[in-house]
Amino acid sequence: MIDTVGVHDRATRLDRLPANSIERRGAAFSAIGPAARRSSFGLVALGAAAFALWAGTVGAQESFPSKPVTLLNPLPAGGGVDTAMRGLAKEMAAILGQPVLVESRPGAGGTIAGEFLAKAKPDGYLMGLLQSTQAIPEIYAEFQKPPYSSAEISPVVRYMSLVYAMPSRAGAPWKSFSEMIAYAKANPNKVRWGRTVGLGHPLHLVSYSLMKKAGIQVIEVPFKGAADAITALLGGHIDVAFGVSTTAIAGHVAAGRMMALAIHNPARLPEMPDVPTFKEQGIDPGVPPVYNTFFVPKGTPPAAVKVLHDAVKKAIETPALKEFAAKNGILLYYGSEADVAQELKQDREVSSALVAQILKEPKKE
Amino acid sequence: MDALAPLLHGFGVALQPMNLLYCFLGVLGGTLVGVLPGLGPQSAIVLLLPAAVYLDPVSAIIMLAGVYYGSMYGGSTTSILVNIPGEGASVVTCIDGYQMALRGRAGPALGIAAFGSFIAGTFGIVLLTFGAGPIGDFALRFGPPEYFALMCLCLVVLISLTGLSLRKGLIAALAGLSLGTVGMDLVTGQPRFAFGVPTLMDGVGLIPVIMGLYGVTEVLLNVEAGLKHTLVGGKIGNLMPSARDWKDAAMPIARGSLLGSACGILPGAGVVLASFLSYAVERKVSRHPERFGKGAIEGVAGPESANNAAAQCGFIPLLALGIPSNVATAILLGAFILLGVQPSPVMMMTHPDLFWGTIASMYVGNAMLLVLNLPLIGLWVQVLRVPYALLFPLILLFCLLGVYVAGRNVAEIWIMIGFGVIGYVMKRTGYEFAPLVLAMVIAPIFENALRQSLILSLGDPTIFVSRPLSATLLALAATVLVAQVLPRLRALKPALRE
Amino acid sequence: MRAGEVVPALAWTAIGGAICWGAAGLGLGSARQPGPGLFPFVLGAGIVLLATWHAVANLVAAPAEAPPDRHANLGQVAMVVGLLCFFAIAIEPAGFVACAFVFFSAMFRVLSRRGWPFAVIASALATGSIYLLFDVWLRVNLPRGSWGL
Repeated sequence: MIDTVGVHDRATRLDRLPANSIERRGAAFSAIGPAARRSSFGLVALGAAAFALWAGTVGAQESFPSKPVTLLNPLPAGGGVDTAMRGLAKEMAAILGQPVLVESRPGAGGTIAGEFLAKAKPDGYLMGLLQSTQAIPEIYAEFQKPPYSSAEISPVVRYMSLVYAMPSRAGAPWKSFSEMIAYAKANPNKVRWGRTVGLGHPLHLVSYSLMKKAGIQVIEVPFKGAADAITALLGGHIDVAFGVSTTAIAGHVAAGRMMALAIHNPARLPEMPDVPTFKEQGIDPGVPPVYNTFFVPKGTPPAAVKVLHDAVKKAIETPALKEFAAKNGILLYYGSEADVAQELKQDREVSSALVAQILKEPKKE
Repeated sequence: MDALAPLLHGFGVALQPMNLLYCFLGVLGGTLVGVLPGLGPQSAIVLLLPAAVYLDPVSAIIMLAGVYYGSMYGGSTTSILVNIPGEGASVVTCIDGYQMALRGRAGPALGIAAFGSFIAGTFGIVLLTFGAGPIGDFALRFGPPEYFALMCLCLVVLISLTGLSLRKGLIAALAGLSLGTVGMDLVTGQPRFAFGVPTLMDGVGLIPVIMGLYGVTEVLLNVEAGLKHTLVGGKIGNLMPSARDWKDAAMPIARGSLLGSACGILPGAGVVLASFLSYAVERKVSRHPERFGKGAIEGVAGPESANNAAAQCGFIPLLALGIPSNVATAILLGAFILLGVQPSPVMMMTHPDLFWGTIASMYVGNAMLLVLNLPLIGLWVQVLRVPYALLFPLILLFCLLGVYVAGRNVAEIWIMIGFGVIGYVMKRTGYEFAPLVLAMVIAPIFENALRQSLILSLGDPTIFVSRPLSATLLALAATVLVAQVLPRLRALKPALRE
Repeated sequence: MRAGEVVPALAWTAIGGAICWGAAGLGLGSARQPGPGLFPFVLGAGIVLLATWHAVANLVAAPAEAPPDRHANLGQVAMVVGLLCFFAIAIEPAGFVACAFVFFSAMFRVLSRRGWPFAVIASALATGSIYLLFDVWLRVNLPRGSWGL
């Protein structure tokens, strides 16, 4: 695997050589030779190199990008992801030398944007920042029939991650997540547990997994969004809620009107150093944290994909974007194509199993 | 009155030349998007957000807040002039506002709407200044059972919105409630009546429905009836409300301010309900209810005051608790966070410049809106002289664009066209829209609150009467219902004997 | 009998019936644990009930005076609806400018009964000013056709 990546890197560096030059082709092939011999992934390496070579020739026909690039946001304009994308667009425009626009097409849990991306012209001028529901829509098909499939889109680069927390009302008879679980075990159907998303949403899968792994019985109250659940928590109408972004509760926690019991992330956040992760508290929901990864329509020229990937990667490393992200509570979280593939694989396995488990539950009617 | 000193400090911030400028730009932009049908405050705030990031946070918030409450002023303009509401909160203003315009009284209608908005808006800001903390805490006592009880009260009031035929009004209301159930079920996640259309998973949007029922239908009806050259032939009376108008409108403005404030502080209830409830109340308490629907100035003054009071009081949960009460304030909350401030009970201590500066700017902004809108009346009434054949294609295009631009979703345009045709058929067969629109707003809150309550109580319906606040609201609803139905039954008796 | 009331009422009865039918398929649940279909079912049933009542009441009522015939311009109504549909179909592939220009030209021509020159000039002005307002001033990025406008 390491070898393949190496070849890929080397081959792509050759892009800067004049197109169609004999040296260039020779160099690319000589690069494969030793790699293929050394590695058990020879075939993959060969494929990758051929891919890179083809990418080189395609890229040479026309320099990409030659017109404005659009970043597609499946969530409503004005929200946190929209902000994060605008911050990125500014840096990307400087890197690509072309304007970068952000366009929101919200609705139906993001599948409207997903479908728009899947059906768009695969020329690299449209790139969508998708989450699990839009990236692998077939997992959730039982809840919402997707108008496209994950086979119609391909990942480019992971840009950021959203961290969700479990807040609790102030004055609850517990001080930590594990205490709450112990209380819920001792008092079945007592803890009022708010859910901020629809059934089968990735955040619901986390919430469901937590309940199942803890083996607790709670009153699960659905809300139409995080804001409604926060209001109910502040009023003491529910005890805990899951699926609220950390930025939305930070102020309430600071004011002492809410406790943050735990966050769904591999590590603690620098802005909330006292709040542990679920794993630290003894229960790992197993679902990957919410990722925001850029996708393009399947069939986009690899050269364009590479330009986009590199631009996002470079933008993430700029001090300006880092500062912008820190100021707005955005967790930049670069992921290469390999990281993303790994993450999508894990998400597909874990989430499909959880969805199957939820569907087996007796229907509450 | 310990809010006085910080408020003075706030004026010090708000009256700085740059902040005054951004306040003016905000209210001007708000008035404009309010006037354009289909473009709501949320679209405008989203459009301005990228630019706002580069401003000083205080100036940015002052401007964005100005857009929001400024749009409440503009919304009534097209309702009155062409019978097409600029946004949801002005739907009910069409009923009497347009009738006033047809009778050559567009000027007084626009004038009283502006004055009422100013008075109610200022009332709302005074509440925000002196009572934000305690009022916000009171609003938090509304849990699912209380919302259920409140929606019962609204449903009962809805009955009084039905026009001549109670049966036809109720059918329209039930159809509106049914429309409100479209989309993903909150509890089970099942799609309801979505027919596999992704857009319908989120429910039927209020704006496309209103633009269809009012905008498109209005044009279709006018086209069918044959083209008049202009909307109002010749006579456009005086531009300002007369002494008599003021006498008629004074109490509606006062009641509208109170009612609107009450609706505004409750997250989710909002400006649309406020305007409808105010209209229903005015018709109920009026000594001449028969004048309603025929150009009663009370039917403009009350709702227009109510929606402005509600818009201003929507800032109470936002600034005091960090809770948005509707889509537009949710985007404003996002703007606060974007600018590095999390609204919360401690904000007035941690960011006094921003908190008090914003509040002070609202007093200034409201005054600006009044000064801005009064001269505009003269300009707006000239719209009535624009040849119909030029005016209506423009209005249709604004409806189309407004609906499309909000979410870049062509499906929303189709919904608008569909409701335009439905509205045309309904109007031709004598069914009213107002109960349908209000019912559509109520339905999801009503059903979700009912089901959340029953989940919380593990299926025990006594949850609605065991909590004092919800019991009180339910008792009130029952009283209003009896008061509504009894006279109608009495009126029915002789009819049956015949 | 008042046909003008009875026919729409019967249509509403059918709509109410369809809502009930759809709601029943969603799962009604119980009064204590309402399912997704219960609320719509009750609403549909209410529509059926009221609409049937209204239909029956007007079946027995004396016929009202015939309303004046206003169907003079039904062709134009269909034309306006058709143009709206055209806009919905064409806006994304053809772009705003072309789409709005065609929309305005046809509207002005049909509604104003003036000649094509008037319609074309007025359309160009209207399209241009709306484009300036939205795309240039408000920076909405209106859809563009393949020719860049």
